[in-house]
Amino acid sequence: MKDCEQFQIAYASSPDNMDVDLASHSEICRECAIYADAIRELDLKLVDSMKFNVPDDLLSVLKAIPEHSGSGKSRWMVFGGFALAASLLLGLGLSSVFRLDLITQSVPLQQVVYQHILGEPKALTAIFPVQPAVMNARLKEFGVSLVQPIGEVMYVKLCPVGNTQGLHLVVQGQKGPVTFLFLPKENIAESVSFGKGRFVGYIKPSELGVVAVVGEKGEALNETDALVQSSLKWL
Amino acid sequence: MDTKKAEYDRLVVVYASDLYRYAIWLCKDSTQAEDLVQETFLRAWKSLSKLKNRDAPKPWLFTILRNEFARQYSRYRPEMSDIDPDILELKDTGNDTSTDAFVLRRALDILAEEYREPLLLQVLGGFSCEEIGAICGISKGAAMTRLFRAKKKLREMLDPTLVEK
Repeated sequence: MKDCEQFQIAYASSPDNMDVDLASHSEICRECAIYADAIRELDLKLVDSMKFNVPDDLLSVLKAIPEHSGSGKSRWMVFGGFALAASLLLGLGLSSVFRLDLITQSVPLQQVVYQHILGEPKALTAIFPVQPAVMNARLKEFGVSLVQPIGEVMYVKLCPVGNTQGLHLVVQGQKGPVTFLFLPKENIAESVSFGKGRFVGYIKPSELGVVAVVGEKGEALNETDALVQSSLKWL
Repeated sequence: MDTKKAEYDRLVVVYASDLYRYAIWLCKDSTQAEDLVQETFLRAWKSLSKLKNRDAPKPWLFTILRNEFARQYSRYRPEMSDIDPDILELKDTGNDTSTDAFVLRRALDILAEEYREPLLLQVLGGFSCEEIGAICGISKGAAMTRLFRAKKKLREMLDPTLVEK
């Protein structure tokens, strides 16, 4: 029995590095021979079940990392959303604010918000909607729940924004992605609008704290905003 | 091309796919998995000079990824009880969507973390028990025991009649 136990532990954990004497145990023990067959079959199934496709551009993105890591430019520049983020930057006329060292308490909140959106271009380029269960789990973690549908949610994540934790939510609008950033611990006296180019938006006080809304020019931001905000309730 | 960049590129080519698949299992989200792998390689690039065993960089990379996940991403991970089983299909990853594969992945996901992690490292990383022990911070013997139990539990989940045997 001891041999059987030793054999099975060794076979399950390191079949290719078994002691020769122990490995030969299955030749005289039918139960262990059957066990070895079952483990071999399980291992093959495990390998097959984990053959996830790797994104086509993963290697090129990873290879480009060194070109940007030491230059003071953050890694977002190598992401696929660079062009979109750059457009947003230009649209907002904020090229001077894109400096990591500007995230301080003295920086206006809207600049911190821009900074965050620009730093996460993947949020603007998601192809697949977020699974409802994932979305609900993240909303719950943030402390809110969804009381009615808000359309296709393309991105949802809890993010450190400035000195606080915010909810970064992107929904599919009529003209493109519409970004919401909820910052419950921040305060702002009045709404501030921004953007003259392709992207426009505003930041304003709301029941969920400060909320920033950014979308393509011509997007019905107010309508989307009203829908999203009326659909999110504190738990 | 300088030596450091050439070495880095080789790490990307050889190990990126395995790291991504491991990240998928940690994050359950392809976007987060990509981010995690990018962060891993960014850190690898910055600390390439600290790589002690240049002939065996894989455990080093997996350890970076595992630590980065623990540091940054694990707090965002939804509780499994909140997740619809359909998410295990991981539809946007192009994986095997056969029923057999689905059932196995589901069983893997139910498996306790202490058993799942060594198993993932063995299957996805091809690590030895000694390496798994080093990555997980446990002894080689403990890694062997966990792998044995992981497969025992998996088999029992897939075939409940084995529980009675």
